[in-house]
Amino acid sequence: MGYDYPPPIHFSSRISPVIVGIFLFIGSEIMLFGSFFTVYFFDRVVNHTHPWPPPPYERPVFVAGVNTLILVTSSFTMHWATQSIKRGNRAGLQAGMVLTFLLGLTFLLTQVIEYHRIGFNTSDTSFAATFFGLTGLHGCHVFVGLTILLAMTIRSFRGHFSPEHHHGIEVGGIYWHFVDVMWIIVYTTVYLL
Amino acid sequence: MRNPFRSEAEAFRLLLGFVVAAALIVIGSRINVWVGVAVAVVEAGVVAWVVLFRGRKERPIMQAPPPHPPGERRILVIANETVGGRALLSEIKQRAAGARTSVRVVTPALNSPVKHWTSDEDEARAAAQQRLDKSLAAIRSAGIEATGEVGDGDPLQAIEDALRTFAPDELIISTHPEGRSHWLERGVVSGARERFALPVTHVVVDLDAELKSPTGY
Amino acid sequence: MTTPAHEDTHVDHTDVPEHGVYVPPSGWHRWTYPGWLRVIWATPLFGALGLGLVVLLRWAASWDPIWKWSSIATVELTAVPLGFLVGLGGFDYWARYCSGKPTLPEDHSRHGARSWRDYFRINTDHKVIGVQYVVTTMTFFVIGGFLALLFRAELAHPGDQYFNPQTFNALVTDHASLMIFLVIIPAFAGLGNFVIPLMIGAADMAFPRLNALSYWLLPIAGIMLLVGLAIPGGGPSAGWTCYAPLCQHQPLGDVFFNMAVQWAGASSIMTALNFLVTIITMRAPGMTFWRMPLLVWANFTTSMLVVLATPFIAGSQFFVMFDRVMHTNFFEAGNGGYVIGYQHIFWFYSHPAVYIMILPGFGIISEVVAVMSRKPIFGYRLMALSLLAILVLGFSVWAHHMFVAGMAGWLRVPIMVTTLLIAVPTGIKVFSWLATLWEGRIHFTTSMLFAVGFIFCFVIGGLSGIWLGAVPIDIQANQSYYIVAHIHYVLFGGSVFTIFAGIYYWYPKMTGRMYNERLGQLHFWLTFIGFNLTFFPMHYIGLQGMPRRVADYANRFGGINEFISIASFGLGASTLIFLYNMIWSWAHGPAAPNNPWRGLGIEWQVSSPPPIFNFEEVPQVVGSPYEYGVPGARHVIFGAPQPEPVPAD
Repeated sequence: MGYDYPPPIHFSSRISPVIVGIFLFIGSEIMLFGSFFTVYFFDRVVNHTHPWPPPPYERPVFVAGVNTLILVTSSFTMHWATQSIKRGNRAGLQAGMVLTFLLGLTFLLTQVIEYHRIGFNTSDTSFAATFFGLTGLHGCHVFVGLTILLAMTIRSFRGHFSPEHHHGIEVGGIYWHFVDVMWIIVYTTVYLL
Repeated sequence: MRNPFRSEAEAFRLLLGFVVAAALIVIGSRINVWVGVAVAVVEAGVVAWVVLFRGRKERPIMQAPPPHPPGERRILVIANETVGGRALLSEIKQRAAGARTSVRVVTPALNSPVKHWTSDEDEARAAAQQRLDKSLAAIRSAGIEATGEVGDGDPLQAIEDALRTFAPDELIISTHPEGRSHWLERGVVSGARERFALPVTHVVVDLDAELKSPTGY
Repeated sequence: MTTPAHEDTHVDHTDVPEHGVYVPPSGWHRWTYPGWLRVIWATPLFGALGLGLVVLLRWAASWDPIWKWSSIATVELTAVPLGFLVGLGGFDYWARYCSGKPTLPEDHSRHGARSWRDYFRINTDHKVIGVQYVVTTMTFFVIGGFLALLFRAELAHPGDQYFNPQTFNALVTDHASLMIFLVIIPAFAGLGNFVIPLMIGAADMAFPRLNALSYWLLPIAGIMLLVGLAIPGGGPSAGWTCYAPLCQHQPLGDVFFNMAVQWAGASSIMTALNFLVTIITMRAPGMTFWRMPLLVWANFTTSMLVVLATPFIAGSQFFVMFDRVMHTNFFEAGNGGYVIGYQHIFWFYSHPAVYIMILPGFGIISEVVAVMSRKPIFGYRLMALSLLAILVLGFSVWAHHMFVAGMAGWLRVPIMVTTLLIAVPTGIKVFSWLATLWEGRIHFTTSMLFAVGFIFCFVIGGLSGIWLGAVPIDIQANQSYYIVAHIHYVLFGGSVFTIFAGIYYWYPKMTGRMYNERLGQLHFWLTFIGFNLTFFPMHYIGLQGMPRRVADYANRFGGINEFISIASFGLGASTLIFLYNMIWSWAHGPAAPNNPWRGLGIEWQVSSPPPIFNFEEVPQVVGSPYEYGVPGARHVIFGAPQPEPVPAD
């Protein structure tokens, strides 16, 4: 054992391991959402629950719609932040991260306020269960995403990241785009259909 | 087929595509549920077409041969049934003239598709070994230092293996005339030029013609 | 310069400043440095925070009662293990990274294990983690087996002798949960963890810190299951399947089951992600996918299964917990819930779970059979393709566990068809192993005995599986001892035999010592005989009508049950031989050579145990890993200069 450090890593594929890792992780999270969509499918479709939502419950479609626009915008700002650091524009990175974080926070807080005002609670029939289940699961992912965004924002202000090394931003960005895509599916299923 | 999931930029493009697709489905459903379903089916078809047919193949990474001890010239010869051909032998003699040369002959164990996928390699290897032995005898009798081995069934993989074990300076690939190539050998010369930073000489050996004229070139 | 958090514990190499050297903390810093001292105060702190959070929220929202134990238990079972992990140091690096502090220089001086202490901390060396996994899973194997002996004692005679039915059910539940989530699935993760980076020529896994964390989730899950047995009100007693609506109305101990499954599932997913990224991105130069050893293929497909399927069991447990703690109605029929939905969601994971529990075993058997018969594995490409086929088909058969559950009738025949279809790729593998053995020069070492024993038992288990896949037979045999026989033939005679084969096969590599071959062979024969005597009669009593998961049964089954119980005690005793051999040989066994089995794989080309960083320089692969008997064939070369990549213009 005459050597103290590992040999240089040989990469057998041109994709960075962290990028492969985050996409696979997102694959497993999609399956987790899949299980929630499955129970929604069972409780609404297989159980022939009509009408949906059962009266007198109503869904705040408009507020959630505005929230959708906020979240989609936050993805644009996130992409802008990533593109900025790729070009060496640190101010753009910092502004983009702050905006993304604030927009995401707005989304989450709006959802929490809507939970308060919604007029039904978790024990009100399977409609409420699937409503809170799907939106709540998504909210948890937004919360985790905000934590990641916060860490990335702090690091951007502390001078980390460069055009050559910005995996932290990329990985967080990919996760945030996933949260956004998932919201569109959740919104369509829970609020529109 | 290219893996689309490589960076944040591609994730973002996926998101945009998704937003547009979802919006179209929702608008369609508002008109009529079946319109929405039809839009979804059409979108799924477009995605499938893009993924299956429009994915660009990536250019392989080119590899340069590793260094070998100085003082000799190393030639790697890849040949199938043409390994006994006179055209190939004369090319080797030509290139080996002058400096001290060491030749490695690799005969890929070419196999039929069924046997390739059922890993039934014994016959292919035995046949390749026989051809190799004959060819080595011929090269050595011309006074050139030669070694050989049976290579992987895929000629490009066989070249890469020899790159690691032999570190050649140049490559001679011998094939049948156009149209008679084995399924694994299609594109081997252009593939070798793309993947290996080595001078590649392509020798076409027409075994039929050589059989007919025993003394001609 | 950098400002390490524990400046007194890090001294930079003056010659190579990006690498640090560990200096042990002193004084009160020992209590803040990641490790067991910090665990002592971090764990109760997080417990208190969790408790405070729940109580505060319930008081602020005026929910009655404020001390609702099911809510408190659920939150505590998340907070307390989190505190443990924080104390041990699982998140230290990420906490520094996220807070924007410069990270500490990479400290390779503590990499690997030089004393027993290194096995009890957060260790990023895949070889150490592999050993941690194997030792932990074998410990839970003994505990889970002991639980089985307890209820086999109860089952020896009709009537209730030692345990009331509720306790009996808890023993059965915990036996199965431990064996599935804490033994079989993680044992393969552990063997794979040790062997795969070596097999593909990598210095470690792609994410070593994640690897370390994923190990420590396992003892957490195991302890949770065992503590659950002792909770007042009763332990988890709804079976490892924990069906709704029974599950939501179980005593508090069941929360421990639900949460333990979540922790074990998280561990499994993290390891699988690591395997996938490592195999995809870190193979040695020249190792194309079609030159990977079959164990690597097996772990690759298993990891795909884990990543895609495990979230479904997480979901099913979430729904049950929500139904209990938040009074949702996912599965409450009176309020719009769809009861059988639980079974669909649960089995959508749990069927792929059985493939998760066997595919790595298939990989191990392929390795052992090829080396010990001195022949290339027969039909290598089809072996790899059959793994992929099982991966895909494995998602299509879940409802064969529900033929008599009252699900939609039309689903039964299609599922029967897919179930029978999945026997085809499995059959390809069995025939391949037999063809590899055929006319081979066979060396019957202990691992080879277990491999051949595996083929024997797994084929029997597979046959009973084919019968059960047919709906009419399943209607008769479901929920009877026939099922118990089938599962144990495929899980014990199948998976556990492959785990034993793998442990014996790689024992010299992992420990640097040779185990005692005679004791190994004795272990095999006693296990094989004891196993068959225990489980074969169960086929018969099952078809005669004895139901499973019962503490008491009809008198006519008494004789055979007594026989089975006695045989099971013999089986339990045989495990003692295994434990003695493993422990004694590790301490006193003869030093093992690099390559005791004369294998071609890369892991056999390094010392036993391997050097701390596996390789001095990256090996190069120049041939298939199974060219036994082919003169001059090489799988890997060391020390040759590498081809240089030419940058694209």
